[in-house]
Amino acid sequence: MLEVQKLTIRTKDNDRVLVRDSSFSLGAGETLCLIGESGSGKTLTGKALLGMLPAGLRMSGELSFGGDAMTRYGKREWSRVRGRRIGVIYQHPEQALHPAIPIGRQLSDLLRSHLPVTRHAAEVSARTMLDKVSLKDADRMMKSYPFQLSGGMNQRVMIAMALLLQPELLIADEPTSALDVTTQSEIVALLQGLVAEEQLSMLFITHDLLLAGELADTIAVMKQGEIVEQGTAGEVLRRPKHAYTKQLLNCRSSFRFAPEEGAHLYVGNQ
Amino acid sequence: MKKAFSLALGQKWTTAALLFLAGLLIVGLLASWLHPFDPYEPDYAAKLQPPSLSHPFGTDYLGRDLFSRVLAGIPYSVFPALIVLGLVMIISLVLGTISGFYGGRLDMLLMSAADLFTAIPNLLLTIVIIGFLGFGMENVYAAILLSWWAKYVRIIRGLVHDVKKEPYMLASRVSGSFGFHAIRRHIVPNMMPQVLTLIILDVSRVILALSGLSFLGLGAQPPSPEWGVMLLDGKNYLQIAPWMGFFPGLMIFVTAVAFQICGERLRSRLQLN
Amino acid sequence: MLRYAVGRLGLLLFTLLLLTLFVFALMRLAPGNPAALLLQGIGAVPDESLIALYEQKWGLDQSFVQQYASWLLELVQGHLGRSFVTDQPVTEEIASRLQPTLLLIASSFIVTVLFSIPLGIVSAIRENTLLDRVVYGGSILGLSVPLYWLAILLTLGFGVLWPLFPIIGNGSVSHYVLPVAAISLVQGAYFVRMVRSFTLEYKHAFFMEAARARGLRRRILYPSYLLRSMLIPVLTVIGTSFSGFFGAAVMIENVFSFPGLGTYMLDMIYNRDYPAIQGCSLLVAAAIFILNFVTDLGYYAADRRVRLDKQRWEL
Repeated sequence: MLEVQKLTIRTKDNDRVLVRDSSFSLGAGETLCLIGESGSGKTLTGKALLGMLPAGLRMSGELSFGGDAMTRYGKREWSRVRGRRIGVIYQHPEQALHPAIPIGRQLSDLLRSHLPVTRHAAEVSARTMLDKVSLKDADRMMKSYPFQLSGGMNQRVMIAMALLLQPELLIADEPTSALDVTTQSEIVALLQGLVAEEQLSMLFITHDLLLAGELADTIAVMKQGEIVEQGTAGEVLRRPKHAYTKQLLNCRSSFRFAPEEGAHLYVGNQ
Repeated sequence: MKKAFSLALGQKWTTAALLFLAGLLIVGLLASWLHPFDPYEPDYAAKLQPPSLSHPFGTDYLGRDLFSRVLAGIPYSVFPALIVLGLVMIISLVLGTISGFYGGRLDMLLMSAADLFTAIPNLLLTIVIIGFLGFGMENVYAAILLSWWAKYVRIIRGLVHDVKKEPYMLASRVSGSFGFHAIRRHIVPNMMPQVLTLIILDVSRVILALSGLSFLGLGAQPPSPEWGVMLLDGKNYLQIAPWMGFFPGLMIFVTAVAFQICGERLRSRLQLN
Repeated sequence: MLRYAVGRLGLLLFTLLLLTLFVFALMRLAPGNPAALLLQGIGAVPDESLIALYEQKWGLDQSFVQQYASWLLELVQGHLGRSFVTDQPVTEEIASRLQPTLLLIASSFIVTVLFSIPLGIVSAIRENTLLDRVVYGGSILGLSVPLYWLAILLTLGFGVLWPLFPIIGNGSVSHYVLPVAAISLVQGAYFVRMVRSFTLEYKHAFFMEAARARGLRRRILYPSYLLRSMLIPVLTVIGTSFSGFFGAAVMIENVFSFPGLGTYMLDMIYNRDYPAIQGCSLLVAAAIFILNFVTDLGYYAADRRVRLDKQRWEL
């Protein structure tokens, strides 16, 4: 269903390679986990699949989704794919939602962007979707703002939003890394249930090998922009071939929190 | 990501601006040897002449060569802005660093004073000060100082707070070398690029403010060749001799643009907001 | 909200009190004996008995605290004192000059807001296009152009060479065209600049990228998602612009010999008319403080939701 061949992403100005020759495929209803530390190019790969690479980057390679070549998509084609056939969830849901628009409105705006429905009909489906991600009191939720909800609740809202239009593919970019352990397992369980129920393909981006083992049918390990190892979850976890995978498996326990926390400390945004 | 925010000004514009400013500085320093005519001596035979080869900017109502006057005006129109801003920087570096570094009651006092002075419009403050203390350039400078220090004290205080949070400052706190040494070695050098950029971005505003005050008759007084004073003269001869006001104003404008371009360039280099 | 408003109001009153003290103290710092200056002003030779008489008349012989207290008491009742020069109540003199200035500032403000806020937003949305570059370049020019020079050029162009509009005085709508154009061009440059950079910040905010990633239509994305987050920045820009408009009005009144508050204040400076200067400056400062207070309340009401500073920009 999704076929990525020799995807390469480089910077326009000095041709620095950020992702090199990465190839993988994902069948209908399957989950592929893309593993790597921050800066390994996994998030960029996700952005490439949405046609949303930052302005200073260009890509080459073949991306085929449900039979069409995404590399030839224009603006209009992309807008029919984003949100409609591919949904996304992020590490920080409260930042991915508009801070000053009620959640119900954001859901119905999405629906109305893609389908010719009335506001009322859109709100009804939005409410149903909120029930589906086990958010209690959907009516109140519809009127809430993101800052009034917890991280876990916001992530459920994001999931509802990503699945609202019944896409074929879900891209989940570290959706649980910012959550506490209990909420994390709830969200993972919810995702597993929904993936099975909807026959959804999922590209799950994470740095957490054990989590990947729990979710994945196949695993691809990325290091410095290259996929160094890929195979079924069982193979990769039980008989890792590449030294880097072994290293990841060994230090997994201490690895879990460190890189994401530290990664932004010196970025220096204001 | 941030890069996309500021439209990069072309290198050639920045080069042009820098060349212009360098020229201005040199001519300003050498002004008394460079001007072709005496900028002060009236020559009634040549009054109100339009721009020509011998008088590129024309002459004024006393027959003085406007080109010479514009050149002679550089030290009065541009340099004071730089000096005043330099003073603003020194004063606010001292006050802002103390306020941000030591905090406490002094900090509170300074910040409420800063609040008051930020709220009063600059021109109003100047009018009040000159209104009560009388005309004179020292009062104009005092007024400009009073209306600009608050902004910088606040900014510097904020920067000091930021630097204080850096890990190496923590280290210096632990090792006991916290205090004047830390201020001199870490805090001040760390914020200088940002402070200087902001200062350069404000040069044009101060130039405009100073010449504006002269134009209102509150700053430099005739027969000074300060550009604002010349513009005021020009205003009265608008219908007969429009060049009298045009060229001094153009000089203010071009100089301000040049400083603005340099400031913008620095800002996008440092990726400040 | 109410608690905030009350607290902020207290601060406003305190600042106003500080301001009166500052203005009053400045007057005392003034060089020379005001009574003597006054006498010189009317052409009399200031001998000691005359000075004493005048000091008594104007209450200049009392102590600082006494003078300040009695002046403040008068002030609270709306009396700003009598002009040294015309012997008329300052309040009345100001009132007769206020209307043209208010009209000038209000119309410039409206024109500025109407053209510059949309221009800043459109320029940011069409980032790096020709339009954006022109607007950006124009804003640098606008920030650097001396207002009085621009006004003179406008006068020259549209009042002298091509006499479309009158260049002096006030009275009809056409008298306002050139002054308003000059002020709006210069203030507009500042507005465009700020609004553009705020819009860019929000445009690149993560919530906007996420909205694009879920295929939100442009027709919803920009008018609703982007504009809704612009409320606070726009309020901020407006809130910090009042002093600029006042300053611009003073300059412009001077260029166009406009009989407003600005020309009055300048006249009073030449005449060293202390009560008039005090009255005008207190009035203007108070007006600006109150406008800032109102914007602050608006800011506070809108602030709870849209805060960018804690957001991260990158994935």
